[in-house]
Amino acid sequence: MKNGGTKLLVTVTIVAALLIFFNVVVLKRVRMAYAPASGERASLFNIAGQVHEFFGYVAMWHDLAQKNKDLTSALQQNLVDKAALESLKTENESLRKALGLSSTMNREIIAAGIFNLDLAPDGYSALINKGSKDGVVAGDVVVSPDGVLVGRIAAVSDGSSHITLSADPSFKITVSVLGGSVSGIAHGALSDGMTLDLIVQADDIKEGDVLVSTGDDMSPAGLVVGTVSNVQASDTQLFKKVKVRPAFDPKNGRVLVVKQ
Amino acid sequence: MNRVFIVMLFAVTVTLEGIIMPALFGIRENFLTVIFLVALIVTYGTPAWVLGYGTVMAFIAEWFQGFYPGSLVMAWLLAAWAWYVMTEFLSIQPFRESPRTNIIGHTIAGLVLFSIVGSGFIGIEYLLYDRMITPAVLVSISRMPRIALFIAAAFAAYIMLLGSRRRQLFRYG
Repeated sequence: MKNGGTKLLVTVTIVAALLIFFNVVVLKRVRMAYAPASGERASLFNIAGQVHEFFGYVAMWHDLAQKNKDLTSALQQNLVDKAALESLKTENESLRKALGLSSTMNREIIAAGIFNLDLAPDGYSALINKGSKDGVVAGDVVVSPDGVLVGRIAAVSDGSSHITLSADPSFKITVSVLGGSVSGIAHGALSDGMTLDLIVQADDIKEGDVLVSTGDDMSPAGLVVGTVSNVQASDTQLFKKVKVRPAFDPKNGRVLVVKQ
Repeated sequence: MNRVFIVMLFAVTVTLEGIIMPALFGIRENFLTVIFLVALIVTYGTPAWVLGYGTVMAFIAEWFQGFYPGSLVMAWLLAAWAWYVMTEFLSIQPFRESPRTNIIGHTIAGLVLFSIVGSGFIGIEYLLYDRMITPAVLVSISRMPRIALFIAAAFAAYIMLLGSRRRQLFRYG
């Protein structure tokens, strides 16, 4: 210790000790709580506190923005998951029906989806996403998961197949009235749906009758083909003119291919 | 000029400890003034001017913060005595006079002096002024790693700040 530091240290220590003794014994522990410039300090403290609060809000806004971003992303993911779930649910339902249909018909069933529908004036057709790789062959009958006739496979490529819909003029199938004895050949009539041939005037058929396949041709029996929508009888003609509204709704995208 | 810097640094320290840190960061017990006063000893030793400045600053700090008279002054003087003993019996020199700057060693020395100031302060407040502040407070503080790290970092910062003025202080010292 240099420059008289030791003496000063001793002196200051003694003075400080005496002051403490004086305060404790004589002044009875007076406390130095003078709070200098308390007003200004309070103002500064208040300003600093407001600045702190402001930055706290800024941090909170930042957090909220981040949470909003995360939630938006999570919502998007949920939508994707929900869409996938819906798809799986539909596919599952279709496969369950296919399984039931398969056991009923005692034939092999291939589930497929329609990805193109062509309702041109010269013919009605559709494309499905299953082809020869999946075992589809020309002539297979296509039905809806509910057992409603859709059409027949006309041409097959590796990954897709061409369907002739039941309303196409080239489509024919033997049908009978459900619960009745009348039978005939139904063929496609484009926008008129289908027509039923070879129904003599004496046959008992009326609007609202349901037509099902008889199985007398290459198609399986028991498929719902359509509903009689109009019957024109005439004594001057041998056969009745019967119009049929096909039961298949082309908007239903899932179908089943029934192997021959 | 350089002692003006020390005074300014003290004023900034008191403002930081009393207003800025509690208001902005919610840190109410940060010991910055005590750390500054101890760093003064570690950096310059205990020449007369340091004793004078330190005593006055300790008095101002305890007056500003509402302590009992002499509690911080006497605690700081205890640290000065401890430093005196350390320099007498150990191979330790003030930071500005060390041939090789060793910030870690001086920070450790500062922490030792800090504990002495803390113990002295608590002892005086508890024994002489009957204030309900016990040695358990110091023990609990020493067990908090974040606070200990903060104190060590503050010491290093103060020593570096004060020590960076070494050449000019030689001229005045």
